[in-house]
Parts: sequence; C-alpha cells; structure tokens
Amino acid sequence: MIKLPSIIQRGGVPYEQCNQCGKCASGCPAARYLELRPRKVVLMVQRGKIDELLRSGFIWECTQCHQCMERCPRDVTPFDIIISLQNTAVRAGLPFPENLTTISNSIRSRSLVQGDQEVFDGDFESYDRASLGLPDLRPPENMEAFREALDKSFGWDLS
Amino acid sequence: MGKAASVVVIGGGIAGIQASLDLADRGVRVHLVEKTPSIGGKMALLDKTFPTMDCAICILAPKMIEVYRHPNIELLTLSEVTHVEGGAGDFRVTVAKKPRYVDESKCIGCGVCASKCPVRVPDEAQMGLSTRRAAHLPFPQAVPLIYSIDERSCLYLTKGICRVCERFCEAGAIDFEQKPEERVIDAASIIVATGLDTYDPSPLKEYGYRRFKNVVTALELERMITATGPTEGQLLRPSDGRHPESVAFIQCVGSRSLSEGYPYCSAVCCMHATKEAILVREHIPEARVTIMYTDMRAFGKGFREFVNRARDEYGVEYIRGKPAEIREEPRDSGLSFWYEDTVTGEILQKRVDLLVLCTALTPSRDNKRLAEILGVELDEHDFFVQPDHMLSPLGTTREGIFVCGYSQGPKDIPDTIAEASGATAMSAEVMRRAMRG
Amino acid sequence: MRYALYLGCWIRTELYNVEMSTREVMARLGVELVDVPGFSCCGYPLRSLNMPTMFYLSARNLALAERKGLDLFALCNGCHASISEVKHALDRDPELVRQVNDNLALEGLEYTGRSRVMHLLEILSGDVGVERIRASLTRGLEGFRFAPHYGCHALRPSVVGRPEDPEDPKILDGLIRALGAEAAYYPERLDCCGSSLGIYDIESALKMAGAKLSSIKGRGFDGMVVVCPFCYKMYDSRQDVIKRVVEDEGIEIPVFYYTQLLGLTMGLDARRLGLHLNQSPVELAIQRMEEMWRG
Repeated sequence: MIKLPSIIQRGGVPYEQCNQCGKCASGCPAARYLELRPRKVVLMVQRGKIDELLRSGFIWECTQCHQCMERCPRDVTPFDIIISLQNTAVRAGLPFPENLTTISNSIRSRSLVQGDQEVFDGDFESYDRASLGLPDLRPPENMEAFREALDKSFGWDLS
Repeated sequence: MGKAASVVVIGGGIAGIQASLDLADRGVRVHLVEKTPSIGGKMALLDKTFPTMDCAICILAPKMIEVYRHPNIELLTLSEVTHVEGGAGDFRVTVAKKPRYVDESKCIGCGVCASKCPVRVPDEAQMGLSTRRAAHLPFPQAVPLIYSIDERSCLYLTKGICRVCERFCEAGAIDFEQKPEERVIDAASIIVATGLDTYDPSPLKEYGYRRFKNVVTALELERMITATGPTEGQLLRPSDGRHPESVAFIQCVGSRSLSEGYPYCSAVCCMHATKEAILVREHIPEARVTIMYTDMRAFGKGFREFVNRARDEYGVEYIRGKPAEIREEPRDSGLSFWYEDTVTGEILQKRVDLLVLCTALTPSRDNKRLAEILGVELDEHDFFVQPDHMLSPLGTTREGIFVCGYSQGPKDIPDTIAEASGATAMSAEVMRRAMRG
Repeated sequence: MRYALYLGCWIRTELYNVEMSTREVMARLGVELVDVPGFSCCGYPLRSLNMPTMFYLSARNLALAERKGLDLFALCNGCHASISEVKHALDRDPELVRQVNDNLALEGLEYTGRSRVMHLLEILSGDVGVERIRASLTRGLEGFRFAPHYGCHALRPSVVGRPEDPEDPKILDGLIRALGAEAAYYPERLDCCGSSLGIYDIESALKMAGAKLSSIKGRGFDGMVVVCPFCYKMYDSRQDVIKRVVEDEGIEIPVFYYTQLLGLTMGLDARRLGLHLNQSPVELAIQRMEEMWRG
C-alpha cells in the first residue's frame, strides 16, 4: 500500500478508509467550477494511480477551504492527500503553477509574498505605509540565515 | 410445572412479543418485562413495513393482544429487571414495577382522565412532534389498553396539586396511593429483546437538524405521514403546514462513520427510506422524491425488487451522492444543497421543501445498565456480545441468557422474528436440561 | 492585554486600511499591540509547494513572539489558521519540534510552544468582550443589516481549534450586533471567497467570489463584513473585475473589515480607518450612516 507522506499525519494520510460517499466533492467549491473531485483523487490513490495524479492539472485546483476534511465521515482528510500529492509533484520536478515560484522567490528575497505596495484612493491619490502613519516594520535580522533556513526546509523529509 | 418451566423475556417489542408467544404456545410460563406502559416497541410507531407495505400496527396489534390474553404470559409493563442471581436453569430475577397510578382492574380505557389533565409534555410516541398529557395512553392501540400517569410530569405527583383526573374518572380507577412493587421470579432462562433507539443527528450540524424547520428524521417522517400521527396522516411541512412538493432523503447520517456517529451500517435505512419515499409519492402524487445514498443495501428477500418498484413505478429518484452542507432559504424555509453525482461526476444543486435524515439506529440506551445487572458483556456500541458469533449467534456471555432482535445487531423485522423463535428454541433446551434435573 | 501584532504579508504591504483601523480600535479598547521586528510570511501560500516550509515559517514567527514573551495576534484568517495548525502539530510531536528547532537555530531562534495564537474574533469577543465594545461606542448602526463573511479559515479545520463553529458560526454575528446593526443568516454564508484558487486559475476564483456577491445582492444587506485580508481583497479590491467576469453589473456591495465598522461607531473619522482606500462602494453606506447620525 502506497504511503502518502504528510508531516502532520506521520503514518501517511489514511486514504484506505474512504468509501467513496462523495461528501467531500459535494462541498468542494473548486469542484463547482473546475475538474477537481476530492473523492476521485482518493479513489485514484486507492487504485495506485499516483503518477497520473501528480501530472494532472486538477490537484492544483484546490482552494484550501478545508471543507472536505472537516466533513468527511471516515476521517480521510482528502485535503491532506491533495497537498501531499502537490508537494510530491514539486519534488519530482513536475509542472506546477508559476505563481508559486513567484511567491517563493519573493519570500526568499524579502521574507514576504510581495514588496510594499503603493495604493490609491478614489481620487487617484497615492499612499504608502509612511504617508498613512504606519510604523516601519523590519524584516528578519539576518536575511542570509533566513534564506539558509528556508532552503533547508525544502530538504526535509515530507513525512 | 415449577420454576424450570419459566422464562423471563426483557423487552416488549416485536422480538420480545414473538419470543413470548412462541414459548407460551409450547406451555412455557413467560414473564414479559417491558419498561414503558405498553408493549409494541418501535414497530408500533411505524406507518408501514418494507418490503410488503403492510400497515405496521395492523399486523402487530393482533400479536400484542394475543400476548395480553395468553394464559401462559404474565405481562409486566412499567417494569424493569433490577437484579439477577443464579445460573442457567435456575435464575432468580428481581423485577421492579413502577406504579401506574391507575387501577388495572377498574380502568375501562375511556380517556376522560387524559382529556381533563392540564399538563402537556412532548409525546415520545410522536417523536416529540406533538404533546400528550401526564395521564395518557402511549398510542391508541396500546396493550394493555389502560391509562397511566407519568410521575415526572403529573402535577399531583410532583407538586401535590390538581388530581382532576380522579374527579372525573367514573370507574374510580385513579389510585395515587399505588407504590412501586418488587417481585422475584424463578426462571430457567432469560431472553433479552431490548430493541433499538435512534441517533439524534444534532451534532452533525451541517445537516441543519433542529436548526432548520423542514429538516426531520426518518422516524419523525413516519409519524408525520401515519394516520395516527400529529397531523392525522397529512404530510405537512413544519414551517408552513403545506404539502411538500419536493422531498429528499439523505442516507447514512451518523452511520458508517469513523468520526461523529457510529461506524456500523444500520442495515435497514436503505429499505425504510425506499418505503418512506413510496409513502410520500402515495400521499402527494405531484411530489418529487429523491434518495441521496452511498450504497444501496437491498440485500434481503424482495428488497431489490422493492427498490426497483420505487424507482420505476413510483418515480423515486436515486442518486449516489452525499450532500456536505444543507442550506436554508430564509424566504420560504426551503432547503438546498450542492452534491456530486458520484456516478457521473457532475456537480449539481438541489432544492427541496422537506429534507429527511436517515439516521443511525442504535441499541437501546438502557443496555449498559441491563448488561451489568445480567452480568453479560456488551461491545463498544452496546450490542450484546456473542462468544461464538458464528455458531451461536443468539447467545450472550452468560449461559442461559439469550438475545434476539436489534439488540443482537442491526436487522429488519422478519430477521428479528426469526431470531426470536431461535431464542425460544435455545431457551427451551435450557429448560429441558433443567427439568431433567 | 498585550499582544504581538502579526500582520502577515498582505495587510503589511498592501491592505493598509486593515492595519490602520485595527490599531485605532484596539488602542481605544485597551489592547496594546506590540510590533516585533523580523516577522516574515507565515508560509500559508507555500503549503502547496512544500509543507515543511510552511511549518518553518509559521514556527519562526511564533518563536519571535515567544522571545518577547507575547502571545501572537494574527490579524489574517489564513495566517491564524496556518500558525494554529503548525502549533497544533508541534505541540503533539516532539520529533517535529526537534526538526523545526534545528532550522530555527540557524536564525538563533527556538520554539517551545509558550505563545498562543490569537484571532481578532477571540480577542474582541473574549478578552475585550461585547459589553466593553458597546461601552466604547459613541454612535450605533441601528437599522443597518450586514452579511457576516467568516472566511474558511476562521471556521476550519476545527480539529486545531478555530474561533468560530464550522457549521453554525455566531461570534462575528454577535460582534456586528454589538454595534447595533443586524447580522442575518444567509444560505451562502459559509462559502469560500476563492482566493487560494487565484494562484492557479484567477477566472474561476473570481467567479466563485462573484457567485456569493450575486446571491447576497438581492437579500437586503447594507454591506458585507470580513475578518480576513484574502477575503477582503477578493470582495473589495476585485469587486469591479468580478462584476465583469460574472456579468452582473448590479453588484454594489460595500465591504468592510470589521475593525473599520467598529471604528466608525467609536466615532472615528473614516479616513483614519482607511475607508478611502476601500475599493468597494463603502461611501454609499457611510453616507447613509452619517445622515442617520446627524439627524
């Protein structure tokens, strides 16, 4: 039986318990617009079709709303399964959404997902933290150490 | 015939009734102990039975009356077993009888006491959908057909005032002087037939039970649709009293669950939902009825044919899918839910006037206490344990004590009756050995 | 009451009005907010990439708060959820703590689990309390009706402890009522804003947000109240785009962060609460409020 790694569920995410009731897919907001069906993801894992899943586009369609894991009557946590597949796909060098790279790079360089933005009001007047009287907030003291630690986390065992 | 020819049957539902009749017809003396004022159990509360669509009380009542009139059966209602000593072939069973506050020899069942009683409490026999009085008959076909006064709600018994019933009873049957009684019965064996209780799905808040007016349980639906129910056989939406034009059933609510509820399958819900769906279609021919199921468990004799009939003749829609969240439309108290049709993979939305939750059916809540008194084991769900489930499915962990019906495990009425007869046979064997000496 | 104010990324770099209104109202409620240098992203957006990275980032922010002897007040639903999840896992897995601390040691930090993670809803309804909030108001919102949008991460996953009940939330409703307004049930109230889907498919995300706005439209609400910057960004900043994507120009829903609404009833000026930076039609609602308060 294939183990789906998760650092929260160390023994692997429990997909064997699923009886395909479909409650997860019924509540999944992404399913209403896209291809993702958490139930089907679990079925494919049960059948061992991991490679197909890792290469699918739909494992990236998850909105991370947690409804599936909240309501599953069999404690299957489809969400953890989806994340486990996503992480595994990344490690295997398979395609994943570009935006994740952009975000990751930004965090590496400035510790946040984006730099300070200039914002506008209805009259197109622009503002920033300083002009709005907000305090200057400092990034991590030692950015090099921060980056090193960040990079090191990519080397952790996923389980 | 002596103590060896006596059996105590605990529980007056169909299982206990059948076991009692089987034994009594063979000349065995039976003491049928029932904790409520009437025998009949859950079957008496149903409208129809599956797959035959018999009127439940119509086929049950003759048996109930037979029990009452049988010379070999002593019916002990409002009674519970409180102590057991001895062993197979030679038990001494202590039975505590609560006072009825009505003289059984005088009451003619006219009902004046109830009509005058000022107290109103939720009626358990109507699943709380309407009220009854403190002086009451559990249901119209109660056996014995004798009123009783509920000591938890009676004004005289709780506060020392009123006694109106006494004033109006022409038979002089009201007797507030009655006291609890205790008896010790010698019995060769004991048959446990304590039946089932229902799971309250309130903890599964996503289904909206008790939050949204038009969400009901299956047993509540039975009472709403049956002729002796709170709406006299008219199926009406709780929110506005109109006929629902669309009804959906959700299966496995609290069943087959490793989180909230129970992990086992309750065995009969797929079938009773089919039965109820047919009843809805019969009562309201324009109604659209859908059953949202996970697996269709139609394993018994005539079951699959029954489901096919519901689908093909009555137009009941069966969808393999389970809603995650029920929403209420504030404007009309209608209910809607998204669902995946797991067969086609489509995501759709459904809106209904009435939603029925088919909840888990559990062993009796009193089993824990009873098991301790009997000195037998229960499993983690309070079903009675069989040391040899394969070859002795009606045994318990104490010799001479047998179990039948839902308290042994989830099952329907025909299987319950079969087990009752089985328990009778095993009981008879214990007696035979005891009588030999 | 003293907390380390943890802003995450978006409030800190873009949604300044959320920060402004929060600082203003908390000061008036006797809650001291301490800025801890070195806070970084909580890692929530990187969960899909590499879960351990999210663990590391959430843990380091907790470690920073711990070092100051403070509980961490995460103003964003997403941050609060990820940090709570990480804390929940770490507090049950000493081996994981060792692994995390190995990483944290590179920055000279250590996680021991002493700091709690606080949510805006918890602080306001618990530590501050509805009575104290009411006492701080100088004007009320009687006659106004708001749609509470809790956001997925205030509701779930309940196993790690969330500020709201996942199926029958009431706290945000109570806080809206504390301002004198009505907070009503509506069938879509638990629906997701779709924000996280934006990383993969922005059009579907906008449609998802639009579906909720369209449904709210006909229900007689004066606005929507949110407690998460992700949700806020979807419904407020992107409302114009949403209208085009779902082809419903009739959507005109003022979106307030709760602290902005609270600030208004405390008598604070709209500009101090950053309301001029809201991109949804809040001016309509504010005008009506001011008329009511003048008359």
